[in-house]
Amino acid sequence: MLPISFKEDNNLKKTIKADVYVGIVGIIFGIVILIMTTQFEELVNVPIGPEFFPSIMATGLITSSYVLIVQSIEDKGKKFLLIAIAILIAMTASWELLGFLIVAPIAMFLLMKLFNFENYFRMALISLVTCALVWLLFWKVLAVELPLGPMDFLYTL
Amino acid sequence: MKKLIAILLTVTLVLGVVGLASAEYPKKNIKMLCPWGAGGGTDAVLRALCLSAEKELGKTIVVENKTGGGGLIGHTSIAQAKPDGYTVGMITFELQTYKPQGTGTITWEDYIPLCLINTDAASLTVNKAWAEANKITDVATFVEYCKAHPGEVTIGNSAPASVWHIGAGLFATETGIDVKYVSFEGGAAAVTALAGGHIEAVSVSLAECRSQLDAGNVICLGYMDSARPALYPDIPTFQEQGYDIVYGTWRGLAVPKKTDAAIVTKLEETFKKATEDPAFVEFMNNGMYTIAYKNSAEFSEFLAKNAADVDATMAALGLKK
Amino acid sequence: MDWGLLLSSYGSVLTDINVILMTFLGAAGGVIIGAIPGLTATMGVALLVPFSFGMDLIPSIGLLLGVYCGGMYGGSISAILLHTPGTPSAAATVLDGWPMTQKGEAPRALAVAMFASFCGGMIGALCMTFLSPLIAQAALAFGPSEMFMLAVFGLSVIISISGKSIVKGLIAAFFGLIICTFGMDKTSGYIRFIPTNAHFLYEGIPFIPALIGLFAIAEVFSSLEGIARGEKSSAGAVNVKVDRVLPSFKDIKLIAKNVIMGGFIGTFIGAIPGAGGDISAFVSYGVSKSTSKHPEEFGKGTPEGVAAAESANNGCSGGAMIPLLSLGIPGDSVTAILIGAFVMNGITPGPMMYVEKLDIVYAVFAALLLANLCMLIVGCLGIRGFVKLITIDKKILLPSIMIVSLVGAYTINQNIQDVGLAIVFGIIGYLFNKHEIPLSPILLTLILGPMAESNLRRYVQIADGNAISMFTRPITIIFAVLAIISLIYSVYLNKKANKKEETPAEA
Repeated sequence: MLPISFKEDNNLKKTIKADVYVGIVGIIFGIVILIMTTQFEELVNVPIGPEFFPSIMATGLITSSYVLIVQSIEDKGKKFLLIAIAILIAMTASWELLGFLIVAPIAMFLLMKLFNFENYFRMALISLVTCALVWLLFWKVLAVELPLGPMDFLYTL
Repeated sequence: MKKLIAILLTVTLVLGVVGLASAEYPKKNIKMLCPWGAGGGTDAVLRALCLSAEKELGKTIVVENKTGGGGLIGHTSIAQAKPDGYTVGMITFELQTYKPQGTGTITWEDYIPLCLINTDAASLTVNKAWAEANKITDVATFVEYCKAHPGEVTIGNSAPASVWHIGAGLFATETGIDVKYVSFEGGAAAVTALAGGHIEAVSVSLAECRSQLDAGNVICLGYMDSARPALYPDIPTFQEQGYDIVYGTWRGLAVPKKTDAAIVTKLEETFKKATEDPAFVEFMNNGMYTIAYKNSAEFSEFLAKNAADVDATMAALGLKK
Repeated sequence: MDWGLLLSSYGSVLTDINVILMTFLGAAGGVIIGAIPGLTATMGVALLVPFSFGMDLIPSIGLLLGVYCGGMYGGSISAILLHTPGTPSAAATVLDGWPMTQKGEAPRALAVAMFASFCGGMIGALCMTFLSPLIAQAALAFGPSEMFMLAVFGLSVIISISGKSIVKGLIAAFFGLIICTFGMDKTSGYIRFIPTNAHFLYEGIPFIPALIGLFAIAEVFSSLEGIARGEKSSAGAVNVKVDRVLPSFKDIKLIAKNVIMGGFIGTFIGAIPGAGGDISAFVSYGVSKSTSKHPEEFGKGTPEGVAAAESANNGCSGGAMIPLLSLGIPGDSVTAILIGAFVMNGITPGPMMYVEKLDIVYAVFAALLLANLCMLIVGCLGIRGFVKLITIDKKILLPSIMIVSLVGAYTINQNIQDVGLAIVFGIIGYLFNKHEIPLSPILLTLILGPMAESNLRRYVQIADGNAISMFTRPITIIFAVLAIISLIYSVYLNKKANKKEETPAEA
């Protein structure tokens, strides 16, 4: 009984390690495509250009490859670290588009979840209040206007 | 004297051999390259033509579809084939677009044009319900509407930089209107979208609009030929309506450069007779393909003028690299 | 509906020995053409059109429809026996057909495929007879935004065909969605990701060579590796005794629901111009899996999966005839050629045909029924022969498949670079297999990706950049909702299936 389960375990480890490589190759391919789409010429009179579709799909490939890597890592410490990095990257990427007051609370909420916070209501409340305070502090005290995206009207109030 | 006899003998011998050679041509089956897929319009015309030409030639003509790259691969293989007269190919309008668009370097001058077989004029066809709602009855009212609503009217075509895309562009530049061009996958798809009311107009051939035209879902405002279409004598030409636009696609035959002149003449004669074959004529009439035979010299002249026109319109449309 | 005319037209077609003979010949030829990778029903029909010029209209239509229906079924033979869809429409049949062969159930799978093909085809033909004008009007309502959402709905099937790991399915799908943009952009003519002198890639990655590489060549590579290592081949234990050429009553009961559903899905999707057998087979497979009592059996060799895919792609042949006859618009590549055959005989398909030439319309319906019948007979006669294919010694069979595959890759465009491409895809397919990344999502995305992209951009161009306005169109909304439901439900099913598998292991 023992040797068999031992052998299976080995195999499992092997495929898991291979999955990490698959993920890395996927991410590299996606990044190459993303870089290539930025080299496309701008076309006039075209609302959605030829770069739109492939760049979205490349982002999708990078994301799913990343998820595969996270899934295949057994060590919980490293796994959570990778998830945290992903949250930060996603936050940065959508910051200018969606605005600080939408992106930051969500990111903070997810990070709190990662740090084993259990009470969802308190998590939501704390992340919203903290981010709002940070925003106000930067705006009023330090005179830095964080981009708010669709909520930009707050500055005109 | 002996010398003279020798020369005469040699001359007759050479002539005889040349004569024999051309008399013997074709010794084997001829390969006919088609740059477009089996079952399409070009393929259908070419196969029907070859059936008629075989009767004249006494040898089989094998049609080979060498497709891909928007016809570029097939066109290139015709130009690069062995110039022994056993490879002939059909060249089509798209040949004129490769160089301006920057997708290929090949032009009509890379061939010996054999003959022009057919031309199909573009049409301006609109959705009937839309036309009636906006009181559009002819080209002039269409142009008027477009001028009153710049950038609103959508004209569908079969592919980017395709013959019908350029046709719509030519019409727009000649009349000074601002419209949107939307490419579909093939003329039939554009006509479907037109009949469904998803776009306002198309600039494809009349044959492609035919079934919707018969059903009364669409109406044709004008035909870009010098004469009215035989099957639809009610459709006026653009020239009649005061717009000097004659435009359409064409299909012709060509052989690689350096093909022997005697063979070119022989093939030219063969295909001239084939275009007059009643079976071929009936086929072309049924399919609404217009036979427009031109011999080698006339065809070359036609190609030169056509190439310049296409180049200019593509530049105006921003399709030129 | 003119019953007298309907009956007399049907009668005259079904009793005309010339028509029957031609249709039968067409079906037999179609099955063979369909079974050979690289030769598709489209090609068979295209090559036969010139021969049919000299014939009367109905026998020639019978011949062409025979090839069409035969080819649709023929593709499943190589899909089931050799892990290679003979035609793109049979790509979904591989999912369960090949595992059945590996389990030693090849004859059962073939019988199910044939029965489902026949029933799907009959449903299509009957729908066409009775509902044609109705469905035709619905098809006209499909503009760019509706086509885009239909493609998105089709893409939602990816989860269903991903196998165990959704993430790996998504990786395969995104890979496919990226490479389907290679070549000349269909909306603007811009050349993407390829060197400008790679002319053979201008029209995108050629589909048939890619399919041949991913399935046939990759499979041969894997087998070669296994045999070289001295592993015992799994197909060695294949049971090829054919007890019956039709499925057992128990099987028929099992697949009845899938066949009926598949037939209708196929008919409807086939009726939409620009969507054909390949898409409908995948959609039907996804729907069947979601509504099945045993969704976890899908992908492991259930007759339900084979039946769902095959009934849909054959239902499609009836569906595709609807817009052809009633609108004059071809529903797929085969009907695009058929339209030429009509025109050559002096008949323009279109709305007027129902007014002026109703007898011909009914005769075409009858010919389609006949074609399906002929396909069934050819299938019954041939099944014992087909199964012999896998009893051939692997030392002979695998190299033969390799050679036939490469020839198939060459034939489609008669271009040597396509052969090279097939080999490249063979290596990609082999690597994907090795890392348990499913291949079917790549095929699905190669079909649906271009449809989604160009229709989205077309719509945005017509709507002046306002993409959100597509959600004011009812059909678009319906498909969007369907796509969301299908996505959520198939993720749920996947979770459930994985859990089921884990529990006994822990116990």
